[in-house]
Amino acid sequence: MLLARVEGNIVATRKHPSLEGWRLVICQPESAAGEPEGVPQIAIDPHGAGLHQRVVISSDGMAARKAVDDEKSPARWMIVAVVDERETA
Amino acid sequence: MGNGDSHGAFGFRISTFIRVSDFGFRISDHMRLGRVIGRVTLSMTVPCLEGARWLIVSPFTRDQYRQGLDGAPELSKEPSLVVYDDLGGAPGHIIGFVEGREAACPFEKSTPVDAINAALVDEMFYSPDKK
Repeated sequence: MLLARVEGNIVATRKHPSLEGWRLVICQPESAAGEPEGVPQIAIDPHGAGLHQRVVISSDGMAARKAVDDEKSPARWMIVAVVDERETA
Repeated sequence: MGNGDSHGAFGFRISTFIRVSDFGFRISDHMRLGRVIGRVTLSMTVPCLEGARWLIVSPFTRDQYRQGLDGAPELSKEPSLVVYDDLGGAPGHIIGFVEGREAACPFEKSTPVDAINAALVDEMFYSPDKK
């Protein structure tokens, strides 16, 4: 799981049938210091996270397949939590 | 965090989720956006991949996300990859592709695929800067 920030969303008409109806958001993973780290990733969003909100994304493919209720889904990243506050040592 | 030059079990770790293998490949298996820059046609394949369409995809860098879908079609620093396609992507399109074990999930039989086109992107809204 990674701490990330929601930076946008994408719209796709043609997509894998399992992603039908799911919000696809662009999440930028962050380092401990809050700096962007790595390349933005696309995640499904069952929680309705807002723009620029901090979230926790999980790359657990099996959980994502359960969430979209399709054993044959290629879904991978999923927003599993919306962050209220965070503390760094 | 995993910054710096710590050696992990599978090669060289650049950051918490980017690793470079001992052979110099970048190991990353997630869902990203990329621009289709070409096609691949195969004459001989394993039977389960016969008739498949393949695209060459150049993954987006953070800068290219900023430029949006109409950005200059430049090659990114990221290595391009060959992606299985059953949605009808064509050169010039922006696609969302999945890497890793999940890429083989949509197939009936076990299939040696590790990157698949999951979405043809029509629109993108990207606003990385805080107000």
